Amino acid sequence: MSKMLYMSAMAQAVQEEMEADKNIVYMGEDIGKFGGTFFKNGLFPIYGKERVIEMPIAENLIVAAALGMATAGMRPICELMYADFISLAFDPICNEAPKIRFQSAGKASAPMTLISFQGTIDGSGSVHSQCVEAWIANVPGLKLVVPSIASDAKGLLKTAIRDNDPVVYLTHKSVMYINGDVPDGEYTIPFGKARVAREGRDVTIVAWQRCYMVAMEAAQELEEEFGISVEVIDPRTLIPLDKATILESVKKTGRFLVVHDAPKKYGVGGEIASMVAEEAYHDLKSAPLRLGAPSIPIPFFKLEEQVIVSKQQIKEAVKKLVNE
Amino acid sequence: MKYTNNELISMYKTMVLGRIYDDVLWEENQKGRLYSMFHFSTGQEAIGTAAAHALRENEPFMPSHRCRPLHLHRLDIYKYLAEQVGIKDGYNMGISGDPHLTLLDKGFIPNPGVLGQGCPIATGFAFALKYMKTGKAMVQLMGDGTYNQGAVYEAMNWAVVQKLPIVYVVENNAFAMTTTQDVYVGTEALSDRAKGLGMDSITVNGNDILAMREIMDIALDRARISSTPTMIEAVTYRRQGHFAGDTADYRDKSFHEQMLLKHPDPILNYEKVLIQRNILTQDEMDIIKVETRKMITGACDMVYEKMQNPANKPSIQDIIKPEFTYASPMEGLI
Ligand SMILES: Cc1ncc(C[n+]2csc(CCOP(=O)(O)OP(=O)(O)O)c2C)c(N)n1
Ligand SMILES: [Mg+2]
Repeated sequence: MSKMLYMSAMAQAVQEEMEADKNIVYMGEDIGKFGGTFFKNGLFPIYGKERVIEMPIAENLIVAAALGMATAGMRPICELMYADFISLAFDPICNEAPKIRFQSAGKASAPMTLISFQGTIDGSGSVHSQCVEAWIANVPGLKLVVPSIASDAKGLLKTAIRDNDPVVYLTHKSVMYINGDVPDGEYTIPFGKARVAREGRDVTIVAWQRCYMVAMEAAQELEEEFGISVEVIDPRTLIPLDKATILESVKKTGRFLVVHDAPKKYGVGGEIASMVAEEAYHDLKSAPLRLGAPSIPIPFFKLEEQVIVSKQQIKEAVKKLVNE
Repeated sequence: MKYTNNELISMYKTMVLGRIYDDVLWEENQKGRLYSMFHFSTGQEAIGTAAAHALRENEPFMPSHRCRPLHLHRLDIYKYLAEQVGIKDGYNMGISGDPHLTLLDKGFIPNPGVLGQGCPIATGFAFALKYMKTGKAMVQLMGDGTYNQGAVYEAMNWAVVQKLPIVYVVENNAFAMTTTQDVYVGTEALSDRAKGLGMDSITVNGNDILAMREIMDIALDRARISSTPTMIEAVTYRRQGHFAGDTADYRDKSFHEQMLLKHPDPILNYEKVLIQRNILTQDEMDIIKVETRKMITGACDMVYEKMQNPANKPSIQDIIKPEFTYASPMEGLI
C-alpha cells in the first residue's frame, strides 16, 4: 500500500498494463515530452513515441483511430483532454465502437478505453467543465466507469484496459489531485460492484466523484449536528450499475437521494432514482430525491460554484427525506 | 502484359458478378420479392473489382456503401443475400445487413453508416497493421460526397504523418444522393486535396479496369513496401438512382446523357479489350453471364423460400442475447 495522488494511481495502472501487453498504446494530445495536461501519465520516457502516440488536435481521429486499432487486434487507450470534447468524437464512441459486437452477432469486439476528464475545478466555463455521464449512458454497448478515489482509480482502470468492450473511463478534475492509499502491484476491481463508503441507518445517498466528496462531508455533519445516520454509496461504475448494493441499502434506510454534478433534468440520477422507485417501492418511506445542476450552462470562473450541488443542498435534502 | 489470362478472366467474372447481382436485385425489388436498402454499383464495377483483386486474400478493406464486386468477391452469395434481407442464414444473422457488414475474419472492416466517419477508423486499422508488423496493406473506399466530411482530412493528414499502409479510393460518380458536384466540390480534381496534405494522389479513369488495377497494384505495393499512403480518385458515373427505390427524377436529362457518353460502361469497355486480345470470345463471355445469372437467381429463390417461414427470421430472443452486446454479460449491463 502506498499513499499517492489519484492521478498517480491511474499512471501506475496504465504503466503496469502496458508493461504486460505490447498491444496497448496510449494516444492523446500533449502526451509526448510534456507528459499530459491533466493526467501526468509518466509514459513517454518509458515507452517513447512508438507506444505513446502524441496526436494532432483532432478528437474524432483520436477516438476513431483507437477504434480501428481495437478492431484490428490491438488494445488502445485514448485520451481526450476535456470530457466536453467527446462531442467531437461522438460518432466513433457512440455510433461505431459499441455496435461492432452486435453487428457481428457476437463475433468481433472493440477492446478500447477512452479516458477523459470531466467536471469543474478552476472555473473553466461552459465547455471545459461539464460532467457528461448522461451523454454516454444511453448508449447500449458501452461501459461507463466513474472512479472517485485513488485506489478505485487504479483498480478500475486496470479492469477497463483488460475489458473486451469499449469502456469510457471518466475521471473528474476535482478528485484527480487528492491523495489516497493505493495497493501496490496487481490490483483490479470488478465492474458492477459499488463501494459502501460510509454505513448508515436513516438515508441512502448515491454519489460519485466531486459530489461523493461533498456527500461524505455532509453525512459527517448530519450525524454530528442532527444525529442523522447517512449511508453513502459510491457506484464506481454506472454501466454496469450495482443495483443489488443500492437496493440492499434502501431496504435498510427506506430513504434515497442521488447527487450528481450534471444537470438534474434527464441526468443519470433520474435512472437510478427510478430504478429504486420501481424495485424498492415497498421499502421506501418517502419519494426518492435527486440533486443536480439547474439546466443552464456552467458560468465562468467563480460563478460555477453557484451551479454545482453544495453541501448545504445535500444536508437540506436529507433533512427533508427524514422529516417527511 | 502484366496479368495472366486467368487473372484477366477472373477480373471479368468479378465485374460481371457485381453487375448481374445488382440487376437481379433490381428485378427482385421491382417484383416486390426481395427488397431492402440496396445501393447499386452498376457502372462502377471496375473500381471495386480492381481493389478486390489487387488486395491479397488476407488483406483487409473498408468498403463504401456502393461497391458490390468488392463485397461479393470474398463471400458466399447465399449467405450475403440472406444477410441483406435479414434472415438467420446471413453472415451476421441478418443483424448487420450489407451496409454494416461486420466480418473481420474475412477482412471486412465495417463501414459506418455515418458517412466519412469510417476514414479515421480505417486509418487506425492501418496503424495497427504497421504497429503489429503484419506487412499487410489495406484499402478504404468512399464516395465523392463522403469525401467532404471533416473526419476524412483529420485521418488522411495523420496517415501522412505516421506513414500508414493505406490506400484511400474515392469513387467520383458525380452524385451524392440527389446533389451534384456544384453543391460540394470546389477544387479542379478531388485528388488535389490529398496533395495539400502531402499525400501522393492521382486521378484515374474509374471505368477502365486495367488502369484501375494497375494503379491499385502500385499504390498497395508502396503501402506494403514503404508504408506510404496514397489517394486515388476514380472517375466514374452513377448510372441509376441512389438506392433501389430512387427513380432519380431530380437528374437533369441532358447532363445524364452527356455523362453516359463520357463514361462508357466499364464492362463493355473491358469486353472489347478481352476480344481484341483473344482472351475471351463473345460466346464465352455470354456463357459466363448466363451462368452467373443462374447462380444468383438460384440463391434468390432459396432465400425467398426461406423467408416464407417466419422461423428463419431472427426473433427478438435471438438478437437480444447479452453476448451480442457485451463480452461478459452481467447484471446491470442490459
Ligand atoms: C453523415 C451522413 N450524412 C448523410 C447520410 C445520408 N446519405 C447516405 S448515402 C449519401 C450520399 C453519399 O454520396 P457519395 O459519398 O458520393 O457516395 P455515392 O452514394 O455517390 O456512392 C447520403 C447523403 C449519411 N449516411 N451519413
Ligand atoms: Mg457519389
